[in-house]
Amino acid sequence: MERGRERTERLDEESSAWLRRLGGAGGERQAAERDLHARLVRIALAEIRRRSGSTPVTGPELDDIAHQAAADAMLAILSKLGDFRGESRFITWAYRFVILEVSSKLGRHYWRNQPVALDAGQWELLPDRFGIDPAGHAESAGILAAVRKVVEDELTEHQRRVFVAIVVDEIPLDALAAELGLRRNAIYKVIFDARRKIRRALVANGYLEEPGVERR
Amino acid sequence: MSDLGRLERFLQTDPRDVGCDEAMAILHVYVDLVVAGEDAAGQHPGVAAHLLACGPCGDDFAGLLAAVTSDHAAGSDAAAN
Repeated sequence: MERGRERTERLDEESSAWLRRLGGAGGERQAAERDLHARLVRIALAEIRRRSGSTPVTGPELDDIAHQAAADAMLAILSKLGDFRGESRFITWAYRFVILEVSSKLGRHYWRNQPVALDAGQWELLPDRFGIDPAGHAESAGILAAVRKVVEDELTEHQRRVFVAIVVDEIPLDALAAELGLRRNAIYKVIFDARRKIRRALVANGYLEEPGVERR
Repeated sequence: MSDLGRLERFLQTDPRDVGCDEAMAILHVYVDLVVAGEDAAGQHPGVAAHLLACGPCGDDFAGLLAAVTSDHAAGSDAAAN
């Protein structure tokens, strides 16, 4: 009660109106829910369009994902209205739910149209992953072989699998998270730690020097 | 730029990086600061570092910023009332 009053006192007018209407009863609440849902659908469709070039999902499936994302975001927002602390505008807080739903759903749908299998291990494409021109392949062969050696010798099986999927095979992070049943943060942490470990090894072996100047 | 520049940048980590969970937990706050023209990165350097390093979180940031900006452009705030 006290928390709710503190929250309301510092809210902007628009956010207060959303909370009043969504927390109301009868027709006012239903109208607010319709308004919010319409906005979430619009935002989800726009976000799907914005990301359409970076996902293998195409056609009517994209519209379906947008509508599912809006519906799931709506449920989450209504169930968490009490968690809104007024640290941002209400609508920004609400839109966050639908943006994250779009991310998550595109990750899960990736496997229905997957361009590459999990554990493909396309190491021969590593130079392309880092934008190394074919003319530079011979020159970069040593450092890339060193990267692979660290991955194969110093990472655990789980770390290696994640690194190869994300960096070598370019599987989207959210898609891998969905496939392995892990949170995005867990995948990111593996890659973060691998980056540090590889960098330390490349410095120790003279391929790089602190703070990141190429030596060979 | 060296031919290995992208690899070097990829291998560089920022100790301020807060990770996905913490960055996503305040993404709405961060975006409102950006929209208001405030120094979001200065107030939340760990979030800024993460958004630069993490493709998916950076994409979510870009999406939320686009959503909020499109609302401002459409002047649809009045629809709340």
